[in-house]
Amino acid sequence: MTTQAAPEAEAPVLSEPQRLGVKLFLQDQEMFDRDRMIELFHRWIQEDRLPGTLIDVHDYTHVPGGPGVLLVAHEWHLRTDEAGGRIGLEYELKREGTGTVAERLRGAVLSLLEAGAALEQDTSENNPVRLGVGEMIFRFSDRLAVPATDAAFDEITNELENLFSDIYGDTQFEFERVGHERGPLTIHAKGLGDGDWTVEGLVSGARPSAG
Amino acid sequence: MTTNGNAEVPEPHQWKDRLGSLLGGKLSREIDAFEGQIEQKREGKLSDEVFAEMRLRRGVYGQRYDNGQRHDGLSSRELDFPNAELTKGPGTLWDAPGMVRIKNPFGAMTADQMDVLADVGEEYADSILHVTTRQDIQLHFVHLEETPDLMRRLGAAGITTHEACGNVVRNVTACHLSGVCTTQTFDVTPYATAVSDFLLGHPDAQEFGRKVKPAFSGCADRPCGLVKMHDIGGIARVREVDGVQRRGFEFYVGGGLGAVPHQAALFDEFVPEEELLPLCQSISRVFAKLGEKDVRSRARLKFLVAKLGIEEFRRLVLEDREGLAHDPRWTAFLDDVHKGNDGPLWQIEGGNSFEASPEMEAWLGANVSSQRQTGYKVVMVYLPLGDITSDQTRGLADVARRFTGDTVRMTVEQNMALRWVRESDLPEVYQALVELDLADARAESITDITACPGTDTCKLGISSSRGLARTLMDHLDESNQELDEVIRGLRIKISGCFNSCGQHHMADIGFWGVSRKRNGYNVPHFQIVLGGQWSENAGSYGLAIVAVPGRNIPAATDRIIQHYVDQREGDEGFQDFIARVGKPAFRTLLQDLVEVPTYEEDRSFYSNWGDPREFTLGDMGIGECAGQVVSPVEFGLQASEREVFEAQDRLDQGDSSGAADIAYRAMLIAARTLAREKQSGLGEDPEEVVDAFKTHLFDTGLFHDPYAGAKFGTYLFRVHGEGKNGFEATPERARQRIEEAQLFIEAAHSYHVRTAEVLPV
Repeated sequence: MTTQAAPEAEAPVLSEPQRLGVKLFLQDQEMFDRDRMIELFHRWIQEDRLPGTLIDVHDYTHVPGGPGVLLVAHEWHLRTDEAGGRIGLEYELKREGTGTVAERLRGAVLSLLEAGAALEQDTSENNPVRLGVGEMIFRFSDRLAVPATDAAFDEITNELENLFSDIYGDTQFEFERVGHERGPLTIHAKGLGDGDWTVEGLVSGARPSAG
Repeated sequence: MTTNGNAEVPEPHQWKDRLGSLLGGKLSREIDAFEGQIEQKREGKLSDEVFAEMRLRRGVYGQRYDNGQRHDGLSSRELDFPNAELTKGPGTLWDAPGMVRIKNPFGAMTADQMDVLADVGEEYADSILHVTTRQDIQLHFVHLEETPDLMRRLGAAGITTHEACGNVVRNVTACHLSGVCTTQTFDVTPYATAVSDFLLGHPDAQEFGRKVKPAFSGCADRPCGLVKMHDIGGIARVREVDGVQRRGFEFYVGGGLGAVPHQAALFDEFVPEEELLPLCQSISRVFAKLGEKDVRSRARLKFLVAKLGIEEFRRLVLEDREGLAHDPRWTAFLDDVHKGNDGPLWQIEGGNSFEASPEMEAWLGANVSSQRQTGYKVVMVYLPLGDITSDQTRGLADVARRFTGDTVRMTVEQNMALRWVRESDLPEVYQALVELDLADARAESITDITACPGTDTCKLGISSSRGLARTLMDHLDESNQELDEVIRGLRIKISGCFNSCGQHHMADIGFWGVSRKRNGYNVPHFQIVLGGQWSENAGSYGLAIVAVPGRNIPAATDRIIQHYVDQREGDEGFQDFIARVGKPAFRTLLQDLVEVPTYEEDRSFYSNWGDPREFTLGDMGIGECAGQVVSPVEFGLQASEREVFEAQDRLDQGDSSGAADIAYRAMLIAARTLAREKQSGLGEDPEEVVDAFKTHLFDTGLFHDPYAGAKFGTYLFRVHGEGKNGFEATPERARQRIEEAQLFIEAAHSYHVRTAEVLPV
């Protein structure tokens, strides 16, 4: 069998990922209106609502467990991801990333929170979309930089603990490796305890100056 | 880290270093060279045209909006890419995401290959693998600079993008059932493999004016191979020669879809298996030597065969064959030809009894068929619009490993087939597919709709083929339980423009995207094509009935199928029904659906399905569907040809007046296409178009034929005058006008050849 995954390693194996995804889940999965997202993302392009070179909207809602509605930018993709049967908002850095591993993680989380805040704000008047912020999924499709290994998992979770202490304060998180055994390193981060966080409220904590 | 003796050695941090030993020297060098060409282009050392051809031959395409322009629904805007001055082809920006096409001969993939495809789809694209109607895989939104690593990772798994595009021999397709089919003459898989391997990079197959698409089929009746719509193709035959059963092929040439579809011509009723490769080589040589090079719209093999006639073409090919130097590869593959490509993982043991839920019963009925080998089944995995996620692909690879001989084949209907599944394993396979959301019971049915990428990603898309397909699937799902059984087996296929990538000509009900000016706005429409024949290897093509606004296509579809249910006689098939009832009756049936409400009454008519932006043609770009770029002139002339085709159909239906009108429209399209080069912003008003044509092309003598002089140009003026002075469209006069339109368009092509700057490729 051909395998392109990096072998298990004991020493630090991370380098700066060019591609990494972060996802928040929708609070109300049943009421989600996919067609509305198509209109909303097109409007975001008209209004330059998010930073970056926004290119187009792509509809994958016909694919079960797929990327849903995809907003394509030069630097990133934003999608109403339906992987695992749970709809969420996923930001994926695709290129032009800068800084250390920690800085890229922070940048991706901040970008997701800012997009999430925009989503909540722009849907607030009718059937508002609300994102749960007590858990996140991290996915590292850049296998060269972040191999799907236990060692990489340990290093990433260390970085995430530091990042989350800036964003969530003293709240403890548990980290679980999820996804297919041959898939990219995918980590489910879940806060222990009930925080009264909001997307908008977490944005400031994710900004570099706060860290 | 790895260890080397006592020292720890870091894992290489480049795919090139990590995979080097798995790639093989030749492939590794080729990809390195391509990477070098990318760098040369970045440094300005290669022209746009030369580099475009280089990347296209590596399967690296452009994609919609890669000219840096996009209409956002309010206005056309520039996309602010970082390297705004850097290009990767004519009018194609460096940073714009593009498409990569991956070749999979006869659609076959191993489980390991599926894993790698899943990985690269996730990392470099949008986590979707798109299966095409020619058994390729396409990845979208890929950045140029990431393509060498993508190729290395594919190459290490035995997959190539080489010659997935460009004016070369494209992917060799074949029935996905080859080897297990109940009606096959023999398994064509090893022959498709041999042709694919032999012609890949072959020196005699590098100088074509356009692409060549080959196909093979194991039998004549079933459509899986679609031989008759391909440039070259073989249908398996066995013939007794000197008392010995010999294998060979009923061999066809010159088929193709595109703007003007051609049925392939029979080259030979029986080409012996040992002659297959030399014949393909000689056809390549004759095509390379005599095929049109400068005018893309006349450069496919079908035009050469039509121009020479099949007798002369055959003579030239056989003459070339006589002079070919012997190549041991012609017959080397025959040593292994009877081994077959794959086989069962498990032997049959015991009985096959199991209980199935109603859902599984439906799946068994729709998606599972018997193999010729007793006890084994083919499980069709339905992919909506040919799309599958990276996660699903990994899961399906697991299913293939666990239950089959490790081979999955993609189909021309954009699905995936699992072969060699034991009947007794069906409940577990079903459950595994349910968990992957891949057990939808609709394979090869009316709701298993084929669509090209259309306006989603294609630069040539006019209407949203995928948007319409999604809408129609949902629409038909709502009434699926009530659908008559004869309706469920029909096929719907959709193309975003006349180029037929969605294979609309062969569908029972086909659609292709057009634009119509209504109430001062451009309105997305679809031409409805009825009567195509999917069976018998795409035995005949349908013809356009009428253009209907996209918003009314679901209603039009309902009417067509209900008319069939109500009016069919006995067991009459759909194609026979269309022939009996006649296309004019369908035009009458749909006439009121042609109307477009005003913008104020219903704005939805002025948008594509699934796209809230107001419809515009401004987003169309320069196409790259073959090696060289498609100029707006060629695109326009193709459109005019399509109109002539429709005019002929109208005449065949007895509608002389309609035929004459459409022929006139065809001439106007051609005239406007040329005149617009001289007068930008030229509108569609016939008076303006004819004036501009006269001023810029006729009075200047530019349009005059070197031999016939002004003759063809005067056709336009006369026909235009007839329109103003009243024209009695008798069948004879309508036929004459169609012929004049054809000659006028031919003259337009000739003018284009004379004046077009030939790209220095």
